[in-house]
Amino acid sequence: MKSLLNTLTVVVMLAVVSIANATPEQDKESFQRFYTERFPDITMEDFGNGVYALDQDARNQWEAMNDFPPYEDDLEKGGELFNTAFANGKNYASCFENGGGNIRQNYPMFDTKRNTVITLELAINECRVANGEKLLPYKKGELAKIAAYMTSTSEGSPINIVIPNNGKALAAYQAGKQYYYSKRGQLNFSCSNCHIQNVGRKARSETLSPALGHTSHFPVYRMKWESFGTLQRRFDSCNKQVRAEPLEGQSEDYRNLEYFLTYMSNGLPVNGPASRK
Amino acid sequence: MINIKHVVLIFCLLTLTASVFAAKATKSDAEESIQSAQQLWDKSIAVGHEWNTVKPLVAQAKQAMETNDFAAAVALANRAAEQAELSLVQAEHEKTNWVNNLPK
Amino acid sequence: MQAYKLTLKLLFTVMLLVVTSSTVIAEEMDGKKVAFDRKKGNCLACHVMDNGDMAGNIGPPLIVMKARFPDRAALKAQIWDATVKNKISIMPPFGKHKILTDNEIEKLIDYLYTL
Repeated sequence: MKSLLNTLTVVVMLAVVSIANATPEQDKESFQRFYTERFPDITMEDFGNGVYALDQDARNQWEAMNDFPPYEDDLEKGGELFNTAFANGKNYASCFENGGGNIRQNYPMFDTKRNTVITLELAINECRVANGEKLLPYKKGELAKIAAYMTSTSEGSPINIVIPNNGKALAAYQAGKQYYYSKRGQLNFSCSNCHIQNVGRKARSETLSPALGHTSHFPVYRMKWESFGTLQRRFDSCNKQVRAEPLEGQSEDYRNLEYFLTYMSNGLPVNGPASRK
Repeated sequence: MINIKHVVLIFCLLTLTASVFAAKATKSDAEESIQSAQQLWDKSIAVGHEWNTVKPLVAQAKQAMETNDFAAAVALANRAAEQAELSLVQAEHEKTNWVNNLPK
Repeated sequence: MQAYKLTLKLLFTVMLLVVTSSTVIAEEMDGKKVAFDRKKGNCLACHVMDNGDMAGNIGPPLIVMKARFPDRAALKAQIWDATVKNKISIMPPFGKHKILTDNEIEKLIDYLYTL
């Protein structure tokens, strides 16, 4: 009897450990399956529309608003900025593969030489510095506009985040995963408390959006902001709402979180930039 | 001649003195409280579980200190320290509890 | 004697002022206010209750509370720290995390028992 109990304990422990240490591929499958089983009528692609995939009334309003997208001017400005040469005569295109076009779906990527996660925004700023230009503030402003323009050139391309099979990359992924599922702030919420366990339910009159597809359309033009904001600016809002202090833009924790969360949406088409309430 | 008025008067005087002394906190008490709140707050940042309620409490404590309201400064700093401490407990707890949040 | 009376009067006035001003500070919101205030209980964010506007539906409606929680201590424990019963509960630990004071929670419970 005792040995049976021992075996059982070991099996349970192994099960717990294996969930915590599942491969990224296994994680992604169970993550996506959770949503497709919970919302069998929603297509994979439509998850990229967030709340509007779940709430028809909200969708109607949103679609009406998008007859004249509120971000048009800022997106155009982003294109101009992207195509403006630096003082040294070079430009953004010179820093990126494929001249910076149709690459959004590959970010964030893990740089195996520097052993760190490189987001698109970080890459844009590094491009500037490499060409003798000053850093732009992360999260909003010109950088968000440039990123929005670059995202627009990836419209429809499936998200394709790669996690190289090396210890450092897996550790970065794992750190992002742990951040996502950890409760934080005085209110003691984890990201998953709202976007997994209570997805589709309402906090006040706001529907809690699915995490699947959360990253497919950033930078987002939020009516509340009246401007583009990057994914990390959105992380700030979530943190504040649970009374946790937001982190610095492009801090290691935020980059790892972005890496994990974007990988969870692998396969979904890029559909940004997008507008939100 | 000890009449009731004397008793009342003495009682009043004692109560007033007591209430004044009870609220008495010195500048160094306030400095100490703020410093220890600051240390716990720094720790909570280091472990990545900073609550955004701590910063304003520390700021208010410092402000109370500047207006020489040391009692208020101590009270505010203690609240900040208490919350920073709770965020450290949360950080420790989530080191294992986060696994329970995975999708099932 | 006249001066003495005056002193006494003055002292009484000062005492009265001290006492009233401290009660004003100590006076807290009533239970319903604690429940509805967005910076306090903000119960409506997740619970339908008492005809409140724009209530969420993350948690169960707060109705027939006496029948559901005959034991006041059990209700207080749930408000104090819901993660004791459910490790991943989304309900904020109002007492444990000092979101509400003990006094506010007691008043909140008094109010909840009227529902």
